[in-house]
Amino acid sequence: MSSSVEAITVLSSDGDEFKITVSAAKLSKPLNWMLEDVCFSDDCDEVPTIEVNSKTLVKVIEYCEKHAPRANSGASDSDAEELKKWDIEFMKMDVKDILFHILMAANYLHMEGLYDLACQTAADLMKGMTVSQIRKIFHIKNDFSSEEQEQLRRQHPGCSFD
Amino acid sequence: MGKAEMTMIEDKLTSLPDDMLQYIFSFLDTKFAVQTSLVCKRLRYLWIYLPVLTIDSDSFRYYSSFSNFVVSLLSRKDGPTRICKFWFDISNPIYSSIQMCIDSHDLFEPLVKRVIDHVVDHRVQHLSFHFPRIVDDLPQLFHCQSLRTLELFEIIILPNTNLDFLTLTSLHLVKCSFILDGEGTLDPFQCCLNLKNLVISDCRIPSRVKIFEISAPQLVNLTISRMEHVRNLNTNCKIVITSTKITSFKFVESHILEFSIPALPLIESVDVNAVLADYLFGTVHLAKRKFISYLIEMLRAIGGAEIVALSIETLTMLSKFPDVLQGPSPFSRVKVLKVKAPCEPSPFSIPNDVMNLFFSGSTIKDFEVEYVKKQQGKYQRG
Repeated sequence: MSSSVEAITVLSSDGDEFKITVSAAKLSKPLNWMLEDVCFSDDCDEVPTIEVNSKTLVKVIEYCEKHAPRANSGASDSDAEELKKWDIEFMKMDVKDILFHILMAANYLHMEGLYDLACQTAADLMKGMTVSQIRKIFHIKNDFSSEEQEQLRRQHPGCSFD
Repeated sequence: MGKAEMTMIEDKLTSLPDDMLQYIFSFLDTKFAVQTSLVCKRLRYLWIYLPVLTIDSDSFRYYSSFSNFVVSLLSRKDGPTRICKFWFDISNPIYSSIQMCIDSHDLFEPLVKRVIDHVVDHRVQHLSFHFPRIVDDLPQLFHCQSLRTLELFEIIILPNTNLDFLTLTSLHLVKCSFILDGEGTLDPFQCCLNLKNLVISDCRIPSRVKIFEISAPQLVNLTISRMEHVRNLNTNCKIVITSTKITSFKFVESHILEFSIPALPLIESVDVNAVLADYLFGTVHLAKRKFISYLIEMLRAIGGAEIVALSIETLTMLSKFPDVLQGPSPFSRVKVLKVKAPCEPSPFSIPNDVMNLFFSGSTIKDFEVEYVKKQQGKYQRG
C-alpha cells in the first residue's frame, strides 16, 4: 500500500461506493485494519465492504470526516465546544429511521464517541416521557394484557404510565 | 407505506441487545429507565440489572410518589446485582399531594435512612448524595467501608463526626457546612487513610474554627475552591495542611486565607486564583497587606511546581503591594507559566515588579495566556 493514498473507496452493504479519507478512517479500529489488509496500488482494485447500509454509512463517514482533525492532532477548548454543537445538529435525525442503525454501526466499527453520542440521543428521547409516550415514539407494541398492566401499576408506584 | 417497511420501523429499540439498552439507560434518570423498561415484555425486567442509579426528586411531582418509587426500587434491587454508581438528590422542591412544599426533616428521615442502609449493605462504590439538611443518620454513611468516590452536596457535618472512610480515594464536598462544638481545631479527614483526591468547594467553615486541618496522609490532589462568599468566609481560620504527598494544588476563586503547608517534594502543578473581598477591607491598605503576605507565603510553600497557573486578578492584586513583593522568587523550578484570563481576550502583560519577583531567577521568558470561563454556580452530574 502506498503511503501517498489519502482517500480510499469502500462499499456499503447495499453495494454503493463511498470515499473516505485515511485520517477519518482511523477513527475506527476495525476500519483501519480493514484498510491495512487491502491493497490500494493502481494495479489492485479490491474494494472492502463495510456491513453498514448506504444511508447509515453516509452519516458515519460525515461524522468521521468532521472529527478526524481533532482526533489526530488534539484541539483547543473552543474547538471542542464547536464540535459539541455540531454533534447536536448532526444527531437531529429521524429516530425511527436511522438512529438505531447509527448505534449498531458505531458499535460494529468500535467508535466510542459516536456510540456514546447515539446512546445519549436515544436516552434524551426517553427523558420525561410516560410509558405510553415511549411506546409511541419508538413504535413499540404493548404486549401486556390488561391484568398484567394493572399489576405493573401496582408494582411500580411513582411511575407515569399514561 | 409497504408492510415490509413498517416492520423495519417497528421494534428498533426492543431488538437491541441487553447490554446496549442498559448502556442507554445509564444516561437516564432511573425513573425514566424504569418507565422505558415497562413498555413491553421484552424489556420488562431490564431495570433490575441497572448498574447506575440516578434518583432525583426533581423528576417527581409529589413526595408520596417519589418516596414510593425509591422504596419499591430499592427493595427489588436487594438481589446480588451490584449498584456501581448511585446518585441521590433531594435538593429540589417537592410537594405533598395538597401542593404544599415539604421541608420537614421527620418526613425525609426514614427515606434517607433507607437509602443509606442500601448503600452500606450493598457495598456501593460511587455515591453522590445531595440533601440540604442535617441528617442524623449520616454517621452510618461515614463509616461505610465500600465507597471509593463520594460526593456530598449541602450536607451539614455535625460535631464529632469522624469521616471514617478507609476505602475512599476521592471526596468532593460541595456547599457543605462543618459544625464545631466550642472553639478550636477541626481535622475532618484524618481517618481517610487512602484518600488521594479531595475537593472542598463552596463550603462553610464556622468562625469558631481557628484551625482547619487537612491531614489525609495519602493525599495527591487538593482543590479548595469558591471560598469567597460572605456566608462562607472565616478569615480568621488558618488552613493547616500536613499531607506531604501532594502533587497538584488548586486554590481557585477563593478569598485569601492563611495557610500552613509542609515541604511538598512531589508538587508538580499549582493553580491559584485568589481574591480579596473589598467589602471586608474597604480602603484599609494595612489589613489587605496582611492577606497579601499570607498569599506570598502560600506561593512560596507550593513554589516547587513546574507548571504554574495564576489568574490575572491575582497578578494584578499582587502588583498593588510592591513592598510585600520582596525576597527570592517563590517559583524555583517553574517550566510552564499559564496566565488565566476571563473569556474575552484582552491584551495583557504581567506587571514588571510581579514578573521580577516571580521569575527573575527562572528560565521562563514567556508565558501562555489561557482564557477560562468562570465556573457557573450549578454543579452538573458527572
